[in-house]
Amino acid sequence: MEFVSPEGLRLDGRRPTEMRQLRAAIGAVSKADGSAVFEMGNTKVIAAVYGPREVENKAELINDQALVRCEYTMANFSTGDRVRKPKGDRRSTEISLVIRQTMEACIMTHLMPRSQIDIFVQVLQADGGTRSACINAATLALADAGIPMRDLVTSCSAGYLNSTPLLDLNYVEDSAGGPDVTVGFLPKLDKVTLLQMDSKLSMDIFQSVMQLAIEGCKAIANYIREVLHENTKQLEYRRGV
Amino acid sequence: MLQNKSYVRKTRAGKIEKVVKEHYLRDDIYCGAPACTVCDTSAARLSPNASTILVLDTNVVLNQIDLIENPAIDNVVVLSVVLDELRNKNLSVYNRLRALCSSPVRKFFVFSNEHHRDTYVKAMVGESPNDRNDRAIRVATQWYQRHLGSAVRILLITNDRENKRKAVEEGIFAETVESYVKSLGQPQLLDLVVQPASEDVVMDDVEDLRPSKKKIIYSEHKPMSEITAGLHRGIYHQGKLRVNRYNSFEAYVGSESIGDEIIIYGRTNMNRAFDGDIVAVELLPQDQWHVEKALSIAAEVGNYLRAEDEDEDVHLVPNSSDDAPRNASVQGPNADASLNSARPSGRVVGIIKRNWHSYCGSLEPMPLPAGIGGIAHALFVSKDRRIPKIRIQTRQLGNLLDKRIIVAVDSWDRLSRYPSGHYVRTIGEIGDRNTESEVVLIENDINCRLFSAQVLACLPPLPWSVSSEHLSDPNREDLRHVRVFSVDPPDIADVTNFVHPGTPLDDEASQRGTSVYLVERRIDMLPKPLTEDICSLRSDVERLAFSVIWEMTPEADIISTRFTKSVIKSCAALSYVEAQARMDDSRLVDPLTTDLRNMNALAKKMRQRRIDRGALTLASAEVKFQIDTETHDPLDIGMYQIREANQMVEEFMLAANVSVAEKILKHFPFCSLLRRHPTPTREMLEPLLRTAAAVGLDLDISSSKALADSLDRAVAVYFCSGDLSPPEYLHYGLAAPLYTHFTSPIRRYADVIVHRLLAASLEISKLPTVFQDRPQLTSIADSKDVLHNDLLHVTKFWDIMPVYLNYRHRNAQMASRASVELHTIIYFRKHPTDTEARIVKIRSNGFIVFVPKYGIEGPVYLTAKGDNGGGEWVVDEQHQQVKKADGSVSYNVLQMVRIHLEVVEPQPNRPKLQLTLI
Amino acid sequence: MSALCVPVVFGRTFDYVDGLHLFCARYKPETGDIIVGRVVEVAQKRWRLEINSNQDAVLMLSSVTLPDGIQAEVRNLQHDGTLQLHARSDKYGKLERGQLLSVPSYLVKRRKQHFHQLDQYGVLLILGCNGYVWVGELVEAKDRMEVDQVNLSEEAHMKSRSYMSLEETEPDYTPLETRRNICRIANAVRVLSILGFNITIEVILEIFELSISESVDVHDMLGAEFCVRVAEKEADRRSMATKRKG
Repeated sequence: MEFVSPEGLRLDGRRPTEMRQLRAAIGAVSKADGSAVFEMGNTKVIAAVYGPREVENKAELINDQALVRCEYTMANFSTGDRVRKPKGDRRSTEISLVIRQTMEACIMTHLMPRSQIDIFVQVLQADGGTRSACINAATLALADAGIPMRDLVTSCSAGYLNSTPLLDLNYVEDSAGGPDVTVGFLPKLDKVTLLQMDSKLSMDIFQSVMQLAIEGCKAIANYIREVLHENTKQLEYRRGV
Repeated sequence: MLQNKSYVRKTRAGKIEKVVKEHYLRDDIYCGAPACTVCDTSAARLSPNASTILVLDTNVVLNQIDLIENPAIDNVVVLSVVLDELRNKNLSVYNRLRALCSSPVRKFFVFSNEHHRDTYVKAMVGESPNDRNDRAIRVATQWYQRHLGSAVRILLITNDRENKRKAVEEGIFAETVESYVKSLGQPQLLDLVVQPASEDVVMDDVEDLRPSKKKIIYSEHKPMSEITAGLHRGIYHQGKLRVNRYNSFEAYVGSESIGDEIIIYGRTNMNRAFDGDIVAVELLPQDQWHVEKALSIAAEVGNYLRAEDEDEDVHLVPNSSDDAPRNASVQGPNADASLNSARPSGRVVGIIKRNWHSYCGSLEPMPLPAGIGGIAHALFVSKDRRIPKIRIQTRQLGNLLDKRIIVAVDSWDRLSRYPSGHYVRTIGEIGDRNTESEVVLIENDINCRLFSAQVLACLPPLPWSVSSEHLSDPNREDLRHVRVFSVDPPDIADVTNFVHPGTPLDDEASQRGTSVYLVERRIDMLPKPLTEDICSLRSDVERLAFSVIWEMTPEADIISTRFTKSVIKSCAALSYVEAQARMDDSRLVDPLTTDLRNMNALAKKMRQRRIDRGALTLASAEVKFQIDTETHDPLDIGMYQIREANQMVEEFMLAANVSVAEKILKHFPFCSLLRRHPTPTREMLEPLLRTAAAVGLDLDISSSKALADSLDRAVAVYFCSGDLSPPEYLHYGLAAPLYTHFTSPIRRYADVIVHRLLAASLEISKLPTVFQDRPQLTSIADSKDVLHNDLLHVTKFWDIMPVYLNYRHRNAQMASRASVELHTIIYFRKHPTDTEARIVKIRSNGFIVFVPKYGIEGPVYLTAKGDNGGGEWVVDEQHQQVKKADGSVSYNVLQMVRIHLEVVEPQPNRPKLQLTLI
Repeated sequence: MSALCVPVVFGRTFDYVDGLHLFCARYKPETGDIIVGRVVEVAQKRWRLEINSNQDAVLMLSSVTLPDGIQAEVRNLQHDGTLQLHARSDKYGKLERGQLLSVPSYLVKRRKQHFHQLDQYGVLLILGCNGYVWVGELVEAKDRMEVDQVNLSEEAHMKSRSYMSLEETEPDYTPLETRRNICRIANAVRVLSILGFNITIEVILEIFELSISESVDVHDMLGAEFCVRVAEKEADRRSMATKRKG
């Protein structure tokens, strides 16, 4: 299968180092403390954050920091075939964990001891890179909820097909079975908080692929920053500050 | 840069499912004309002063690829919509067009119109995909017209009338292929133009050679939907058609649904299928199975074609019968009826996938037509006998008659006896040794190009010598103090030290797969400096090697085995003859000779043990030529002598291979490259057993065709250990439970892979990444399919490599054999000879003999051609004997006879060796 | 000063902009804040209140059994972040006959006055600093005294008293007019919350008046049309204000 034409175009017309179109909206869930919809091309994810609030299960209470919980689900209508998916399958448990760990690493949990933060992410449309989109949406939602964070954590995937590093794989490219690197990144701190890879890659290629994913994270961070700026300006203006 | 318009496309496949894909349109796709003032011209490929730029329609590319490959067609804009369509329709044409687009000498530019902001076309409601694509082509053409202005003429080439009409309406210049080629004023180009089979273009002023133009010869192919339904219901059977190499009127279809092979007799039943096509077959009623056979033979006896196509050829042994007839072709009505009636016969009802490509051959001689330069129709006869004659049109008949040419097949309609095709190119004069050698190479798909500069750049600088770096390598053992010597295929050089994975050198070697040995030349897998110097273990020179070191008891039991990379200094590089001479010369008692004798003693014991285990010892009938150094013509011909020294080296090589196979399998149980040889079935050995029984002999007689055939049918193949279960790893011929190829990394790529595996298992180097992905799909139906995939794009190494290597290996063998056959004919043309021969098989009208001196096997006819013997000769199946009706003369199997060898040319341009009884 | 909800870098260390909590959805308690909370747990000696903050607050020594909305003042913030409330003054106590609204806490500014007895409508409006807003019936002073007593008296005693007081009050239902007013004011608060405007008593009353003057039904107040009207009004007001300044 040819994923990059000799002209340097991918199947959907992007060049190897181009990302899909990003869209984000804040405040999609009115009941939540913070919420956001994040789109990367046709991948669309909604995230809602509740808290910090009283810990529900006292056994889980942590004395010196906040408890972060995360639930990832995929809407039944998110893929081409409408299959009823059982809740809590392996995949979503794994992704829940990944998102939770990534977000926990950037939330300043010590500022909110003995409390709990719930993050709910749901995939509305899946077209590859759901994991990254979920992390980005969760970041936005947390920022919307005003939860103190060390930095905006952003995530982006990159792959390696036809001997070319490709940024932000879509579903077709993702299912090609090639290496697929997902990176979570703190742009201000210049630190990687999440790194996952399927399949195998040699070290030097891996480095270039990961670098590409990091560049993608930076671009997403800029975009998220812009969206938040815009949102804050709005709120400010409304309040008449 | 990114045009953020995303389009949504829906496709439906099988279970109705909506697929939504993004489609980005861009504004940074350039036109490729260097003169363009708007676009970025750094990637421009079109000629700066082109007056005409061509835009080709999909069908034009699909049908006229040979024409397009001609340098006369240039300055072409290839649209991405065309490429996409092409990839779906015909991958090989797609690859050829891609090759043109990337060729530096051609001016083909790919314009990604599907992603260009201005040329993207959305399908209209009710518009078929074809119409939409045609419209996209027109829109792109129009865009070019506007973009480049009036300085350049943009010409759309299409054979589709409707498309052309619409184009003209929209103000686009459009022409058909034929009219464009005519306008170029190069008449010989017209030969390359494929005549459309449909009624789109009127066949004007063409004098048709077909005797009965309107007669329908073949039955119609069933539509695809019906075939699919039929396959489901079990009425039809799908399989690959294999035409009998010796009788092109007989073909076999291996069908999984029946579990047996279906025989297809006659061209009518084959219904226009070619060798290698995937076809759907309908079984004939059981009562017709036998009758059908008799009828077809009878019909063909009267057919003038019979003589040409049905006699057995003279060939070498062991015969190259990888896909030879499963059932030795039966000569005449005395066929073993019981055997035949048991086999299902069928007829082809439809062709699922064509295997058409281009073929080497020559034109059937014919008188030159009166007008010079006029169009003439000629019949092309392929070198490959399985291919029917092909009708072509040419304007250069006079030129082509005495040439070997390449012809491609275009179509075969129901009305014509033969398929029609077109001329592609000329190879050279018929009979010329170089031409014929090239034909051999082309037919076996062998790359004989010189190594490119990129490949040569990967070689270490010359003169090369072992450096201190090598000596200090902890993984490399210094064996220079050990008395090492080599006998012909030497100790094993450390090729992988020079061929690193992923380099152009490695890519090239993997594509070549193996070195090819022709009679007069060798086509190397690796460049000369490696094969003849750096990796050649010459005497008194320090070289890098990969060694297998055994410790053995005098009884040749292996106590320990050790593998290591090493540095050696050979004290003698002996040939087989020299080694044998030393061993035989009792006066010599130097250490080297003593070593030789000791090793020989060990080898004999190992050999005996192997034979006791049931290994087969086939005296391979290799032929050796003496070649004139100047003319390269063969001066003498003879069987290759096998000496004890050969056997000794062979024994140790086998032992090395087995040891290595065990080692790598232990470390990489799922991704080791091994070699296996399936156990032949009883059925395969049947003919041999009958022969043996007739003369009351044991089975271990020196090679006869039957045994070789039987064994060749179960061909030894490379495979990946993860694909099969351990009992299937068996190498029957060598009676080894495990076997691989390790000993010749210079000339076989399989050995290079095994070297890498072994190095990885010793933790000397890392396993290359490609080796690591375990095979997911185990069934790759055909090596041909593999070939059509660009190897570089294939990710699943283990799916592809063993199949590909098997393909290369077989082709190399076939090429060497064909080359030997070619030289045999050249030799006997000059030197007709009388000699001794042994009868190996009895036929109704003659027998097959084996000529030990030359390693040739072929038929000797007792009766004239076309005459079935008229009862004059009677075959005694029981005693494998043929005798005259009056009992005066009789010939037994294995009897010696004297025969006369000479080259005849019963059909023009197809010389063959004829054996006659004296 | 940036008002982003993100940390910014000062040199090598990190500080938070003061405005970090400017748009924080949750309430950050400060001593002296007047808040409205909801009782979620009743124990022997204390009530646990949900107050839209990191943690629940604790109200010690109470005597009302019915868990419901309650108003209180933040007494102190304990070291571990536990919140202690007190409702010792007669101002504080249990709230009934009304509705509890939740708005982003940052929309409610700390002011002198958080209780608003809108006598003309018979409505009691409490703007809790934690973003909980109480809109209820304005009960007679006598009743309120009763409630005050509630805070001081013993639990069992209160029980009977409460019953009694309920029985004693003649109309033990809220008049329709008052209920309408309650809803109207509640919706006015909701509109402000939707629009993200600061919630002050003046603006609420302004919207209340506006809805009446434009004869908008109570249930139409949350519709887009009315929201636009309110926004326009706000814009007018702001431009007036800037003009006055200029």
